[in-house]
Amino acid sequence: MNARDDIGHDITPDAALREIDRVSGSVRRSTRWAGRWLLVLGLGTIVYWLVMLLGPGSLAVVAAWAWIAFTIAGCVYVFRKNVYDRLTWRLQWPVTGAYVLAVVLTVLFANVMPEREPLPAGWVLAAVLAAVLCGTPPLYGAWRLLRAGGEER
Amino acid sequence: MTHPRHGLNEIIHAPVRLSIMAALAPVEKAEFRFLRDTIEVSDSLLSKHMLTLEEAGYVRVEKAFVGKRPRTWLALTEEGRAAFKEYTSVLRRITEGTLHA
Repeated sequence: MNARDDIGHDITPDAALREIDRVSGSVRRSTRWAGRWLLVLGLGTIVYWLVMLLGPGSLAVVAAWAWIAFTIAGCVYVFRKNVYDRLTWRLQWPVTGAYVLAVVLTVLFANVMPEREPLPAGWVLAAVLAAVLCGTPPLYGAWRLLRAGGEER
Repeated sequence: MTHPRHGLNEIIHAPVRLSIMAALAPVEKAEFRFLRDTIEVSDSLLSKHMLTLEEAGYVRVEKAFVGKRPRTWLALTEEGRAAFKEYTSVLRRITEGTLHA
């Protein structure tokens, strides 16, 4: 029997409001993982594509393996979570859809990039832009979730 | 009966059920064990009060299996959200009335 199991039914309105603040605050702190996860995903995406598009071939192989490991770890991390806040729930499909589209466009861009060295400055700029744009959907999600922070969602 | 205390929802206004509603209000859904650990009650007590809230139409219970491991997800219904919002509003009216008395 837990220490709180035997609490009676008398509770004052003040105590009830305090309990609501305490519990909802505790739950909100537990839901902040999604914003942090999207931030890591967004920044990781940018670094990954910068390496893949502009880095040397040997580094690209390392980046590809690191990305596979990161994706598997990310799936396990998200799957093991046992609470989802309302804003995360609302954002999950728009952010996922935009991210998938951004990845597809970046892959298409990678296929049309010239392979000659050195790469013209215009292509370097376009590659940086493509990498940043690919990381934008999860970064947007992270910004929305972290900004909401402890506020009412 | 004009005093706001008469508007207090008696289903919610009990320590454990109040904590359950407060924990579920900010989330889309939460797992049974998370809720149990957050509000610090036993499995049996949580189940008992969840049943009361489910019968009142305030909470939705979904059971799923991950491999052989059962997971029970809990969420507030729209009716539950409305009832909790009204309940907190009544609480504030009472406490503000106390302060201004």
